[in-house]
Amino acid sequence: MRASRSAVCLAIGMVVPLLLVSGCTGDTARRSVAPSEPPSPTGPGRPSPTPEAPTGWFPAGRVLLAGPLAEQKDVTIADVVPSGASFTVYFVCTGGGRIALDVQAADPLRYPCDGVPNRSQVFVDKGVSTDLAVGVEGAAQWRLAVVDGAP
Amino acid sequence: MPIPAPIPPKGEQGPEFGTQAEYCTPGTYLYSMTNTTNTFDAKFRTSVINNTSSAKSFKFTATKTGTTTFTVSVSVSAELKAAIFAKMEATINAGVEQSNTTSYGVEVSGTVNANSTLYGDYGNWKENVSWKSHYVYSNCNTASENSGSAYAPYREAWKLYY
Repeated sequence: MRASRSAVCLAIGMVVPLLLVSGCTGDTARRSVAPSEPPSPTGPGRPSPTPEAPTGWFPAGRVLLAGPLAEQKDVTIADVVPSGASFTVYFVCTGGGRIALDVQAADPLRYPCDGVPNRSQVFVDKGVSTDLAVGVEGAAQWRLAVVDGAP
Repeated sequence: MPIPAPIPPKGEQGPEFGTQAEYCTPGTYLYSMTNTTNTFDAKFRTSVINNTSSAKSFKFTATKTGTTTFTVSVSVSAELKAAIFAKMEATINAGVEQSNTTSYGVEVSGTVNANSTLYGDYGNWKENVSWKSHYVYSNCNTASENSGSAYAPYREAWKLYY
């Protein structure tokens, strides 16, 4: 684990609603996740991402990934592949500053970290994987969920 | 609640018979209000990112609510706050409200262009003003200049933009 930066690599499979929080050597990781592979252990004090959020801020039925990632600033979520034409990203950022969500479009989404819920549907060509890069400016906390299909 | 007039009324009687001394009703008066650019208070944000080469249909649904409340930028008396709102309503925008909570489930739909991102924010449009006040003495002299800004919601809507 890089000590100077909370680089958390999140690998998700299309059919495996499993979140991995593991030590990575780069900002982006692409990993295949076997259905039986248990989640990597989390370090002390680290938030414990769960596949389904208890607060109901996103639909739990088709979750590809979800996690309160409050301690991370910049994270890349690799290889999001929806089963159909689109996936949907739910995210909220608080504490001031700004959040940028890059889904390989021309420009990343940029929003203030003012606690307003955000939802973004991403259309991709079938079978194409997408890397999501999240970055924040200033003091901010955020959480995010990726759900298969339309909202 | 009576609204203090911008120009206080003058009295008919002076302190001495045959003279016409000015008399003003003492108090804090709002004497200036300027309309400034309206802004949008988003309570739910959504977008559709089309990373394909063909147009796609979308539907946005507001699934979170939020409240926008009439706010004055600096601490003022309840009377002056009421006067600011009343003047906004009377002279700037008759549709302003003390508060508005956005509705749940409001939808908008359409088509997003190929290789484009369409943003949709749901929230309240805000009427913004700047204002000035002063204290008027009984001799009609003024002091205690104060100024600030204020806003009030006047319409809830989807705001769509590329």
